[in-house]
Amino acid sequence: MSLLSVRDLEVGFDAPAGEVRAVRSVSFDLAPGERVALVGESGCGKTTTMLAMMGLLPAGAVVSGQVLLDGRDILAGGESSMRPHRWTDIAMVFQGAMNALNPVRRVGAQIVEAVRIHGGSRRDGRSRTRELLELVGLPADFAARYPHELSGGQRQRAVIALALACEPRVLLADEPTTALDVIVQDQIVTLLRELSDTLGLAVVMVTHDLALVPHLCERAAVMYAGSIVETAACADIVQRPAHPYTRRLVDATPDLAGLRPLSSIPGVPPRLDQVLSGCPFQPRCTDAVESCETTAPPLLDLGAGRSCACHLTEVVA
Amino acid sequence: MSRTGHLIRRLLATMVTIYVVVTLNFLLFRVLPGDAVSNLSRVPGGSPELSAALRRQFGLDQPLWEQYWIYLGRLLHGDLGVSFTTQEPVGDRLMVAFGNTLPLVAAGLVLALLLGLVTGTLAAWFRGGWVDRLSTSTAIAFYSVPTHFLGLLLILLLGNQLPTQGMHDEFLIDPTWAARTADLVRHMVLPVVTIALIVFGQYTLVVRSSMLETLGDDHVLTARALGAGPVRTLTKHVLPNAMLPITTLVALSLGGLIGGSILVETVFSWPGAGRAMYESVVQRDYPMLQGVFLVLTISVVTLNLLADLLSVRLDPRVAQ
Repeated sequence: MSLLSVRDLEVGFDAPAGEVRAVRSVSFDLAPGERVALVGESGCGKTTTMLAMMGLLPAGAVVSGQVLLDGRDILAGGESSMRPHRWTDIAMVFQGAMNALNPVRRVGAQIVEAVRIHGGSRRDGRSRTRELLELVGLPADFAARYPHELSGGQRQRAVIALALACEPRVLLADEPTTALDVIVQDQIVTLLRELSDTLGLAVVMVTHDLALVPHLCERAAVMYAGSIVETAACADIVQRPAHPYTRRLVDATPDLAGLRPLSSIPGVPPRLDQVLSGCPFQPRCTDAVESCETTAPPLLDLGAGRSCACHLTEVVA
Repeated sequence: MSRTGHLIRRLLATMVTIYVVVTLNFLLFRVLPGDAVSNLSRVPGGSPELSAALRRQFGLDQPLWEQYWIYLGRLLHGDLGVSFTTQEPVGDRLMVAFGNTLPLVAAGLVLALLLGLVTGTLAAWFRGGWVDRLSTSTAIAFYSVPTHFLGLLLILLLGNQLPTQGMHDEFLIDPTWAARTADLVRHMVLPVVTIALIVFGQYTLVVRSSMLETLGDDHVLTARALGAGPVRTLTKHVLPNAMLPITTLVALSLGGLIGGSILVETVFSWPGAGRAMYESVVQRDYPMLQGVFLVLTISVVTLNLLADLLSVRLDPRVAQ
């Protein structure tokens, strides 16, 4: 049985111009210790999906669907029934290590607080802080530092230490490497992979950087305009993409060997406050046929752990 | 280390500011039109000889430079001169006046701060709702009312239940300590409420906007993700971060409050610093006025320093 399943997750925001449907019927599963990437361009609903899974969306958001943890829906009971699961079962590494930590409190105090919220004593918290900092490769005396006294990479490590404070089983990592230089990016991703291996931690990483995905994850789900359009093993996504959008996304990733020119995807993603008829990628798709304009393709299981939402799947695959 | 450096820099800056203030305070009364001595000697039988004698007595016949040095020297010994009107040392009169003003202002400030924090926090938490609209509009209304007008309104409204002037009931005969204190507190109610109502609106607005800004910060989302409930989020993650602009404002407004007590004290005949300033102006009591100004400016500068040091405690990034 999977550890965590997301079923038909929908998120809408009320806006003056009409409801914005930011996440549209997203479903995926996560096995214990598994690492999955959620890939897509800005505004495709990756972060909103993450926040919805922890019940952290602002008050105006309309959420439907299920988030099953060990088979029980944790969204159903609202904020108060979600709270005990936060951090003890599902923890989050936020994007932009800049501001995820409280700037006026010492790093250690923030980790201690996480432990104490979930019933640990102050002493537990202190010894746990020391352990965690060493686990993420920071000196234990960094507990006494303020976030602004740390470099970007150190701060991201501290955020990861904070996320591990209550020994969660699922780690949601939202753009954990944004605003870091490439070498530090690699260090952080390696750290996450090692932690996942040693602690048996399941990871969902949200990123727009396709190149990063194979370094951490086994499986990837590509999102476009609020929906998952393709899921596959990372190697398949990069080497044999099935969905036209995924193919264009792979082509838009720089190739160090310089064998193929860097291409971009013309056009813009559809506005999410309007009703979409047909395939959301159709206006930008070079392979579009007539049926793409009228009916939205369902996410079809292609077998071997692959699925794709495209009318042309048979043709392409 | 950087904190100590910050402290030293701030202390030096404060001392320079106080020196400049002291000098300006000296010059101000020398360049002002109107002569203290001509006013004093305008008595029946006043003569040029009397003027000259007074001039000598107060050292006004000396060159300006000489006067400045004497002034600085006496100031260093805590000597603020002698009041023209009562012939008492200015220092003694100031002690009494500020001693009377301080409890009034402190009580008013504490009350205003409580009101401002509660209404501002509620307004931010229920942003856009009726609580927000009610507290914001009430705050703006009280903020814009003139002090003396509000004081008079309160006298009209509550004047038959509470004393409206002075600090003590002169007709209490041999009061016990407790009775005296109770009487003082009763006399304080109306002026303190006036100060609190005038000032709290400003606090409400700053608390509200500062809280709103902090509520949108990423680390507040982190706190919620950690499983912190609304009360914990508010008290541990929002308020401490939002306190920075609030502290600065409170320290600044405290200086303004002592200076602004002139209106409240005149309406309620409170024998404090504001009244002393008002009377000194009317009576052209220059040494007294000089003394009031000096204490006022020094208290503002000192409070600023305190606010600055406090903000380093509240936000370690300030020292950088």
